[in-house]
Amino acid sequence: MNTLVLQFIAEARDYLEEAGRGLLALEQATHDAELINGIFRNFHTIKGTSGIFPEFAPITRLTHLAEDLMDGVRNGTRSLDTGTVDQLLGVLDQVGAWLQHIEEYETLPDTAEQECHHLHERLAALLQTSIPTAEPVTPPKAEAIPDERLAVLREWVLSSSPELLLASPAPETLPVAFWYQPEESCFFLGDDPVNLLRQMPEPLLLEMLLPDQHPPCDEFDPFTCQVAFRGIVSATVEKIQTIFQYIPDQICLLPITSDLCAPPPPPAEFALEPQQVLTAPAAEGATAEDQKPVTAQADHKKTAQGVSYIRVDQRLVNQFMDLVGELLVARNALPYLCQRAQTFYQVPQLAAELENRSDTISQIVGSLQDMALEMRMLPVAKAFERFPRLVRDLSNKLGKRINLVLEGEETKADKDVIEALAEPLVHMVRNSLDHGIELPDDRTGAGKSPEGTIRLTAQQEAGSIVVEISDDGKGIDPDRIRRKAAEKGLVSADILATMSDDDVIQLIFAPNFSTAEQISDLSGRGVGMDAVQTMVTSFNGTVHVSSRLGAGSTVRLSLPLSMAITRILTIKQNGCTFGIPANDLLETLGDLPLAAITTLGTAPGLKVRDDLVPLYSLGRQLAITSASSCFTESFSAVVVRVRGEVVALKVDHFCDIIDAVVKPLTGILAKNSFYSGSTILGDGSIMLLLNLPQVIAYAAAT
Amino acid sequence: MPLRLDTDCSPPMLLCEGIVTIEETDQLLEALQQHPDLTADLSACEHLHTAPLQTLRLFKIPLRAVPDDPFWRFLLPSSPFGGDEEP
Repeated sequence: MNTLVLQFIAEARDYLEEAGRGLLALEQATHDAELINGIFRNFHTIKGTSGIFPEFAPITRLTHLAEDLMDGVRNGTRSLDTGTVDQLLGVLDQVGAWLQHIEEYETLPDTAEQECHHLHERLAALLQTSIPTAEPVTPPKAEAIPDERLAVLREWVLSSSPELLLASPAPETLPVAFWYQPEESCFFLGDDPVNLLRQMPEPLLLEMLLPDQHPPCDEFDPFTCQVAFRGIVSATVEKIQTIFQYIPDQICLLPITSDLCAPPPPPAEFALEPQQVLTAPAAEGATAEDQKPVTAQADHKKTAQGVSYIRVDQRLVNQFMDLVGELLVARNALPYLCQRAQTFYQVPQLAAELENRSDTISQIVGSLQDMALEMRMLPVAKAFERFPRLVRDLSNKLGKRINLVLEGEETKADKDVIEALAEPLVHMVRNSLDHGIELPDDRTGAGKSPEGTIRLTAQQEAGSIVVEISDDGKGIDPDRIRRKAAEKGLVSADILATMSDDDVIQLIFAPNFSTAEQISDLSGRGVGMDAVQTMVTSFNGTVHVSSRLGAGSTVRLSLPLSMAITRILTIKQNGCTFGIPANDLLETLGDLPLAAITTLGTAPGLKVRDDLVPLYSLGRQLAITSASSCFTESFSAVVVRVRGEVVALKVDHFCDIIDAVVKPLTGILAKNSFYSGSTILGDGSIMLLLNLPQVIAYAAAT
Repeated sequence: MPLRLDTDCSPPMLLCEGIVTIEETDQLLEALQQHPDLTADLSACEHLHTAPLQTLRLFKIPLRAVPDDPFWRFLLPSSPFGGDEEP
């Protein structure tokens, strides 16, 4: 796709998000001028940028109207009521959906014109009904145009014989000198400075200022605006300000009056051509008032200080991650090499030196790995940002009053983790809203504040990101869960009777528990909580719910911070090497005598500490040993926790725990559910990673 | 096409016609890279986006002809073909 379009999509999304946040915040603080201006600018910029692409005209048209609406709010000619916010949010949603479509199909959907027309009509109707605000919005403080620019302009005017300009036959308006310094990135905002200049009435003089140096042709970036303009026009200051109303900070105006004179020397921002290099005339009799710079309302400039960011194609970051992964694998070969030097080639000195170097390389690779992981880290705010809107819309619809509290939004985790979090979170927040928080009257009746609170918090805990969704609603009734579980036959009545309330409410995550019938107080809209459980498990995470009847519920999700590097225990079975995610591992038991095997019902079992756990033979499950040879020698076992159940797996040997980059399986192997991925070992061989839940489920069933 | 490269004449000439948008900038730069002695004829040009305009001006591409519109006379100082002239 055209890189300009890609950049447009990425930037427009940022502006949409910003505008969405702004609109929601503005509902709370109706007269915040900064917010109003911010939203206005967001719409304006999307309008401008989309204007570069004639085929995206509906975007331009909609954002143009939205901008006009916001302009009214800014000027104080209309207020921002809920209806207007709804329509503006509607525009954001629509443009967001179109961007998605453009990203996928490089074009707007066929329905775009119709959708645009629909929204357009509603916005236009709103625009016609102007609702004055109670308080006019005070415009933000104008930013001062740098004195030096004005000084240079003054110098230049003086050199251009202003008296001649003033003496020209019957000028209806006094000439005005201007200096227009477009932003370097203005082309990407859809601005064409020359087009703006063309709108200037009656140019008496117009010049393009070029930098004195520029890179050679093959390094030149034509999409950075490198020029400035100055000139003298015969027009009112107001007229010029109207033309430049969206970029007031880029234009500097100086009305040419008869008592114009000039102070200090010009700075060397632009190389002035010979006739324009001036010597400063003596500043005598300056009337400061007359020379005050005329600056329009400067509300456009944002100065990003401190951290600066660059946009990088995600594919590049992923490739970089992959390469770091490869490097990690290559690094893993070094200890193997040291060992070979020592034992096979028997050169201990070389082995020692190799080990030294290997340590240094390991350190660097470690740092590189940390950095690579850091590059993919996103703040959880990315997953949280949709909730103010969701809660606003749903609580309005349900007639509930809800205070949404977001905490720890700056907590970071891998992009994939953050993205994976989004859907379960939406599901659970919706549950809290729909079924947790009571209606205001019910709450008051229960002695609570009529306004319910939903709290989303995120924090890091030892290599994991923990997100909690809590509400002060009516909580989950364990007795109802018990009844439902018994009805569904999920757990036998005997076992249910022995289960604690806490264990019972975890049953809401069980498959087949919550269905479209919806009984639990945390039930959703046809999507069961087991979907949340499934997602969390697929990311090697955990989920737990706690609740107090009448006081509220808390769901706690814990996911690894990153999935790029996995810790893996390597095991040997019949000469083949396999990996087991170290997360699942509880302990390893070596050199067990055959007598250690007992029976558990009719199947083999193994006593691990004080518990008897099922024992499965890995070789048998993978069909790489014959059934008869399964338990004929002394053996090793790894004890793992799979889907909450502790089991032992008989293996030939277990080896090291390594850090590895696991690649998903492709082709024919992808269909084999026993394996979840592969990685390359230090000696160059390929190792398959076992998908323990599948292996164990199969073993238990056969 | 707003830009047409004529390599039959010497030095090669770029004909700019109608509305030259920012999209044409790459084509202009490419022509310039291939023909450092490039000249341009803008007599039939109705509008020139700032991006191609700054490229023309920064690399001092000699202009064989400029549009009649007085506005462009300010920004595209007509230069006798082969010469460069700043305002």
